[in-house]
Amino acid sequence: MWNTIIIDPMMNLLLWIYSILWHNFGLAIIVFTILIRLVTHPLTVQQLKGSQAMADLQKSKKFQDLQKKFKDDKEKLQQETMKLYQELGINPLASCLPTLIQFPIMIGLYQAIMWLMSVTPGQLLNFVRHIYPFISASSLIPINNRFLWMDLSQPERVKIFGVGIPVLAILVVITTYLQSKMMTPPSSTPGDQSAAMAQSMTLMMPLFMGYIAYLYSSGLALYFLVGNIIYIVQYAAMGKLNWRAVLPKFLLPN
Amino acid sequence: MKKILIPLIFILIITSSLLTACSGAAFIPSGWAGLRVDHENAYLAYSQYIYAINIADGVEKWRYPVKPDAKTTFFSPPVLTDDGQLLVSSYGNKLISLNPSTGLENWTFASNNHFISSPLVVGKTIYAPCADSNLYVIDLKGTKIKEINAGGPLWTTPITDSENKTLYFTSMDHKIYALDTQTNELLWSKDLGSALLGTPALSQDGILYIGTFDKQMIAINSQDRNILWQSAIDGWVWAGPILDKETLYFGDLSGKFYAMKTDGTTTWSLQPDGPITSSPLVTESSIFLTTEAGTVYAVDRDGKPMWNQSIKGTIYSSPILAGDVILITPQGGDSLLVALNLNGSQKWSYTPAKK
Repeated sequence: MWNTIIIDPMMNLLLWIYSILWHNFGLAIIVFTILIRLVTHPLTVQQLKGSQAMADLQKSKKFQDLQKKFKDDKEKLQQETMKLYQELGINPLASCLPTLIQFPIMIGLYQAIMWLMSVTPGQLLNFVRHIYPFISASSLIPINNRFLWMDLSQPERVKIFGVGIPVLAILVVITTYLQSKMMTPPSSTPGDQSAAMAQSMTLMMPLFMGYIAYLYSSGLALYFLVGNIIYIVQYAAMGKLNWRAVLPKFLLPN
Repeated sequence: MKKILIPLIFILIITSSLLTACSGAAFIPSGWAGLRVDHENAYLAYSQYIYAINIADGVEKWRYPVKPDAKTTFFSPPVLTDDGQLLVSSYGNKLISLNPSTGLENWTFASNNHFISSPLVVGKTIYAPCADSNLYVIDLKGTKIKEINAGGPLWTTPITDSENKTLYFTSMDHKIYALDTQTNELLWSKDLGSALLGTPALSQDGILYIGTFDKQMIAINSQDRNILWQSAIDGWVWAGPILDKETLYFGDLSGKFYAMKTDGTTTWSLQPDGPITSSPLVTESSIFLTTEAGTVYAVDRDGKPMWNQSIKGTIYSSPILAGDVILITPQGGDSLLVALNLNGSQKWSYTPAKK
């Protein structure tokens, strides 16, 4: 079921893109990521609207009155906040959906990459029997796993004075941090719990994504990096980037 | 902070587990059973061990290594040399020489990539194909003499002509290469258009027979590398053909088994119960073939069924004749090695004891 719905379509799409992009698997991953981002664009818009609505709500007098009124009764505050969400038709989980959708894509893509790279006979056998009949794959095997300085089937390291530096993982940490920081609307409520949580997420998510990029094949890290960049571009195109969150103060207009 | 940290650690563990567990074992490959026999023992390479098993009763004599290493996985049959070594190719980038009597290590040869297939020993020289695209030429003490670079990973054991003058090896780069064993210089290469995984068969008159991923059996003249004929078949060929008395015997991934004349015409074919990833065992009167579905088939030379025997597990490797038994290496079943009598009944089976 998982193979049929997630891995097989991803693997075959990647293989098809690879076949038309001069047998360059790195380019295939980049184009694949762009396609995934285009397909999930409506969700990105929904996420943006959701987080914007939450930010507007937190600025509203009604919300702030609730915070003051029930500051000593957390349970009641939670109930009243939920009521307020319902009244205004806000789904607090709406902004999380695109992030959650990333997980099956990420896991599926990793598995698809491992099958396509096929470094063992078992993986190759698995791979060849999941190829759709309309793809002429016999001449495409083995997949060329070199891209720039990377072996896309292995974790990436650049040797500098004998030390392996995970350049791609570092770039994933930086771009995930920038993405989270630029897209988090500033909180207007001092001591706001959800703002504190968002702040923690802004720090933890880049480390989490960086750890995955450090540990697993660089093909997956390339997907993260390109995905982050496209995400930032998508937000910028919608005019919603919060540059103030990342730029030093002296660079900001008054 | 604690509230967010705990769910994040949880997500991290779940994601890591999903990435590794469902990915076809990304870090610890499961192996591909390979078997070699001498007059007394069967040497079975599978997953993280080499087992020496007495052919008469199926009792384990030794296993290597004592403590398994996740990186040291085996995918091909061990090789016995004339000077009494047992050579094993390891996924952990090593070619290892063992003492076949004790299982103790003689020497190791390290490269930068995996050794998937068995080496070939020609006289006092070892030719070890490696996934880094190099064919390593090594002496019997494990010292590198030379490396010959092909254009793609090498996953198959080479073959030589009857005089051991020319060595032929196939590569994932779609090419077959010919090498002069006196000078270890490449003589020629020929692109056949798709990946080549099986060891070619070579006739006395110098014709090479190779199955391809492009659903073809191809005959090439080894003297001038001209293609003599190409015969279309139903599926991708994983293992090399066996040439016996002017007939090629081989199976494909569509699950079809062929007896093909050396002029490319199919004499007969069979459709057993699953894909075929191994070469058959051909004896004077019978042909034994195995399918991934876990069945051993015995047919006569006209393709008439004699018997079939179902064995628990999947079978990816070739059956081996050892005296009066046929040895089968099922994977994922109850046993790692099963000895069948020539009438198909089971003589013994070997299941490694947990250590």
